[in-house]
Formats: sequence, C-alpha cells, structure tokens
Amino acid sequence: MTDWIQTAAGTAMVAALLLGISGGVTGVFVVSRRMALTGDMLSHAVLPGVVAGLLWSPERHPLVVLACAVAAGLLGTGLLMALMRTTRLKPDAALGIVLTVFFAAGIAMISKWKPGGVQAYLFGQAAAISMRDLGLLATTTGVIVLGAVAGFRVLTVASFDPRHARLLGIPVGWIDRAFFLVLATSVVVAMQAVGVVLVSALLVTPAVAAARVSQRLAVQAGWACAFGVAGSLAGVGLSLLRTGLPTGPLMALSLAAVFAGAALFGARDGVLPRWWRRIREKRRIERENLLKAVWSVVEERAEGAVGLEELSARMREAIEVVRPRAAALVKAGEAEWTSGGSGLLLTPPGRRRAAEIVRKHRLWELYLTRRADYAPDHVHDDAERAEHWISEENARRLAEVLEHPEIDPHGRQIPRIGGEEERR
Amino acid sequence: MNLDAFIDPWRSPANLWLVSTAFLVALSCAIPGTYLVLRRMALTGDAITHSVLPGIVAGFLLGGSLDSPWLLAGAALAGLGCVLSIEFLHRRLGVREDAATGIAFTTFFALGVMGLRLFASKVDLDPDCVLFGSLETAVHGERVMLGGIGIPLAFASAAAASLAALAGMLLCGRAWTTGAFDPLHARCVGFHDGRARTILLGLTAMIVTAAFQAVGAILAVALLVLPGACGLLAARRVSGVLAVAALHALLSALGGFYFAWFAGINAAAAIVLAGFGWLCVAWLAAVIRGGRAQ
Repeated sequence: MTDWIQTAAGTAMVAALLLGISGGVTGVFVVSRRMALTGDMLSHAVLPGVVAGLLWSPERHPLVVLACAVAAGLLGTGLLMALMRTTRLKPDAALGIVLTVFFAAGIAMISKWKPGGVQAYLFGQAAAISMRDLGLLATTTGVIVLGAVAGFRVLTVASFDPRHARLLGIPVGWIDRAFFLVLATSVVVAMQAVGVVLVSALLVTPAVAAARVSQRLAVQAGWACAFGVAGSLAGVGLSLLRTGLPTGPLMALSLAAVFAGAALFGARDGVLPRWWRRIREKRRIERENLLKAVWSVVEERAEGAVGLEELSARMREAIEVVRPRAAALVKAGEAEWTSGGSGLLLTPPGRRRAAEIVRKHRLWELYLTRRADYAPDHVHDDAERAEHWISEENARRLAEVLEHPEIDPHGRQIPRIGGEEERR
Repeated sequence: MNLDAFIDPWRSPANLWLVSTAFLVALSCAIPGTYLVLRRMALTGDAITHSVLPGIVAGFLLGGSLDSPWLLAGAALAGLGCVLSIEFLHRRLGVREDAATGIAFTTFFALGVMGLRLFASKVDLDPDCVLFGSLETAVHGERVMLGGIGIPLAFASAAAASLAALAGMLLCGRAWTTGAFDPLHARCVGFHDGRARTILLGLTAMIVTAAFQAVGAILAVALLVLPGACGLLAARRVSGVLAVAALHALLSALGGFYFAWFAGINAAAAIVLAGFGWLCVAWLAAVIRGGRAQ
C-alpha cells in the first residue's frame, strides 16, 4: 500500500481523493455563502505569496509556501475590503482589480527571479505532488472534515443567517475568519493539482452539483464529497490512461460532466425525475378517468357492475387499453372484478374517489357558468382538465362560493362527499 | 537621477513599437471594459477572457494561423457561449450567478487547455501565453509591410482592435450607457438592451482575443477593469469616465514600459502594476476630495 502511494500514479490518485473530499466540503459552504468568485479571486491573489515562498524555500517546503500564500491571500482580501469601503466601486470591479493586480505581481516576480517549481502552481501538475505535499494535503483535509463535522450547526447558521447567529451568541466574526483561512489553505493546496484558474472548478462544481440532489446542507456536503472524489479521480485516471494529457483540465471537465449528470438526474428538477413525475401524473389521470366512466354508467343505470366493453366504448379507447387500467384500479383496491374479469364493480373507497372527481368536475362547470358567464355547452372540456387539479380545499371553497349547489348546469346531481350520502 | 536614463530607451525603434502596441492594446480593452464596469459585469468580462480559449484553438485549427479571421469568430462564439451558459445555469437551473460563472468559465478554459495540448503540434500557441502573454515576443514577431514600413503584426492587430472598439462606442455607446443605468428607460426610448449587451460581450470577446498574445487571459482582465474603475473614481459623467480610462491606458503603457525596463520584468505584468499605481492615485485623490466635501 505504502509502495503504491509512492508511485506517481498512486500519489496522484490519493491526492485526487483528498482534494475531492476537501473541495467538496469547503465548496458547499463557499457556494452557500456566495463566495464562489471570492474563491477565484483568492486563487489568483495567493500567487505572489506562492512565488515568495518558493524563493524563500528553494527545496519547496509545503508549509513555508502555504504560509506565504495565505499571507498574500489575506493582503488581497484587505485590499478588497479597503476598495469596497472607501470607493464607489462595486464588488465585481473590486474583485477584478484585486485578482488581476495580485496575479500580475506574481507574474512580475516570476519573470524577475524565475523560481523553480512555480509551473506546478500555475498550470497544475498532479505528477509534481511530493509525499510532503501529500502529508499536508491529508492534514488539511482531516482538519476541514473534522471542523465541518464538529462545527456543522454553528457554521450553517453563520453562513445562512449571520444576524440570527449573532443573536445566538455565535462568534460570527471569528467563524468568518476561520473559514477564510480554511478556504485560502484549500485553494493553495488545490492549485498544485489543477492550476490557478481551475481551482474554482474543484470548489464550486461539486457543490453546485450536490445542490441538484438535495436541499439539506448536510446531505449536500456528503454528495459534494462524492462528486468531488468521482470527478477528480476520473480526471487523474484519464490522464494516466493517455500520457501527455493535462490532469487539471481533465479534472475540471470530469467535474463538469458530473454536474451535467446531476442536473439531468438530480432529484431537484432533474430531467429524469421530472419525466418520472409526469408519467405518474399521467397514470393518475387515466385512473381517475376510468373511475369517472364507471361512475357515470352506474349513475345512468343504477347498476352495480359495469362491463369493460361498455367502458371502452364510452371512453373511446380500445379494450386492450382499458383492461390494464382496470387492473391498476383493482390493485389499488378501488374496484373489483365481476363475472370473471369482464366487468368492474367499484369498492367503497373507489366510489368515494369517483364521487370526488365527478363532484369537482360539476362544481367547476357550475362555477364557470354562474360566475364567469360561460355558456353551459362550453364548460365541459375545461372541467375535464380541471377535475384532476382541483384540490380538496379548493373543491370545498367552490362549493361554499356556489352556496352548496345540488345540480350542475346540465341538470345532473352533484355528488356529495361524506358518510353514505355519496350515492344519493 | 540622470534624465538620460529615461530618454535612452526611446532611441530603439523596437521600444517605440512596444509602447505604442501596449497603449493600443490597453485602449482597445479600456473602452468595452469601462462599459462592463458601469454595467457591473466586470466578472463577466473575466469569464469571457478565460472562455475564448477553446474558440481560439478551434479557430486556429480551421484557419491554420494566429492571424486568421476564424480566430476572432471562434473567440466571439466561445465568449458568447460562456455567457449563454451562465445565463442558462442561472435562469433555468436556478444556480446562483457567481457559482454559475465559476462552473462555466472553468469548463470552457479546461476545454481550451485540453485542445491546446491535444493539438499541440498544430496550434502554435505557447501555454504560458495563455496565462500571462508576452508583449515582447508579440512585438518582435512577424511584421506586415504597410507603405514601405514594417509594422509588427501585434501593433496592427491592436490598432484594428482599438478602431473596432471606437466604432462600437460611437455606434452603441448611448445604448450601452442607458442600459447600464436604467434598462427599462433604455427600452422605452427604443434601445434594444439585450442586443446592445450581446454586441458589447461579443466585441469584448474579439478584443480580448486580439490582446491575448500580448497580455494573456488573466492580465487582459486587468486591462478591462482597471481603466474603467479608475475613470469611475476620477470622473462623474460617462464621457469623463471614458476620457480618464483612455488616459489611464496611455499612462499605464508608459509607466509599465519604464517599470519593465528598469526592473527587468514581464512587460504585461508591469503594465498592469503601473495601471494599479495610477488607480491608487485616483483612489487617494477621491478619498481626499471626499473628505473635503464632508
């Protein structure tokens, strides 16, 4: 195991795993605090610090580089605050200024003193990650995860509602500062793998993808870790498959693919869940229409059982289409087969359900004719749709507004709900 | 200090080209950049600057050289594509705008870098260039003959970009300004704000592409944002802001040139740092003036 980690591929894989976890956890809070672009600003602003650290410690001691980089990040944030407090520049312009000016300072230092190892930070080089870097990465990831787990509630309140948090006695200012330090650290650590520009991908993309799956922050954090790990491992794996392909962009693209997947299939508004919901909705409407058809036959002839053939004629559907729907009704306990499967008999719950639908249909027809001045022969089609969407509450209100009517515009009885009254 | 030290660099024609190219690059970026700052879209400019890369690579593959028109078309399309993706993520999927920007530009940039590596043998674009560019190589590179004088290609393209920016300002300036302050009013008086915005973003993408080789993706953002921000600190009327922005472009080019000359650093970075110096001057003046007014 230790031997495997020490190989280039092993180091890159472990680094990707750790980066995915730390990026996912930090990212969830970055996104909920609306700091996505602050993260981008930081990744550029730390560059002069990284260069200073590399110049100071030519053997590339990760802690020295990290400390200098975080100091530069703090300086950049100070400049950002000063610009926003004392001028009328908007946050976007202030962020743009700090980002580019600090980056330019870093480039100027690179062109002047040409420190070794800076390429890894600019473009990202998973292969250049040393065992010492890995140690630092593991430590920061551990601290981030432990801190997030231990302080989850406090951090959540401080992120979503700082004023409320202050009222609860939570030291919001200190939490903000601590979070900022964590963010700066994870930015510097991630830079080595993916480069200046693509740090944002590691922080933002998994967190936004996770938000497609769940609304709960704790669940989001878990998913963000999973997505981050999946995306970054895929990136490293792909770059190992075909040498010469850069790891950073591959990681960013894999993460984007993961996001696309989450947007397509995520429980919140994903394409697949929406499709599934639509199918279920369609099934419900079909079933309700069948119930209604049975009801109306019974209403006309006062007979208990209705033949499937008659139903199919009334619904203008083939008997092969009606039969599975009838089977679904039987399965739901709303109807029973009679005479060996050729007829349907509504059970009490089925009758009740059918009465509700017919009631909604006729109430709506009455409402349209009485209150909206529709002609009685123009309301049926609209009621055919409305009957599936009117809620119990709305039906009750409609009845109230219409002063509990008994007869619909076509002279038919409006079924009443409750007790045994449903069938006259 | 000896005055000769300041005059000496001008004796070399190469340096004259360098400064004038730097000024034109800065000027061409300053014009759309000012409107972007006014419209609070500075970070959209940032996103565009990063996302033109795949368009440049595709244009290079189609056109076969750095000065083919395909490059500009590809870059404009990629830049607009990034803006459209941000809007799609924001409007349709309900992703917050900052997060949407983060996702979109990193994806486009990653695509660009991938393309650069995959077609490294065909695309003659230095990866370093992508981040910080090299004004010196650009100016010392290819030359075009015009009226008997060999003009560096970088100078010619920067001049063309400046002309395009000026033309855009003369044609759409009023629409951009009105839309920046009051989009509803802009629509009432007959400006098509959405179209004006698209033109501004497309123009930005093309100008940034022209500036790409000289200053790279990230420092181009500085040339977009710094002049407009400086103008906003120094002037109250939009015409004044634009004038200050143009002056800022000139002073940044000059200051940056001297800075690079004496300190021996990358010229593009020096120009940005000089530009920040001038911004600080305007900032200080604004703070003092504000203190007096109170």
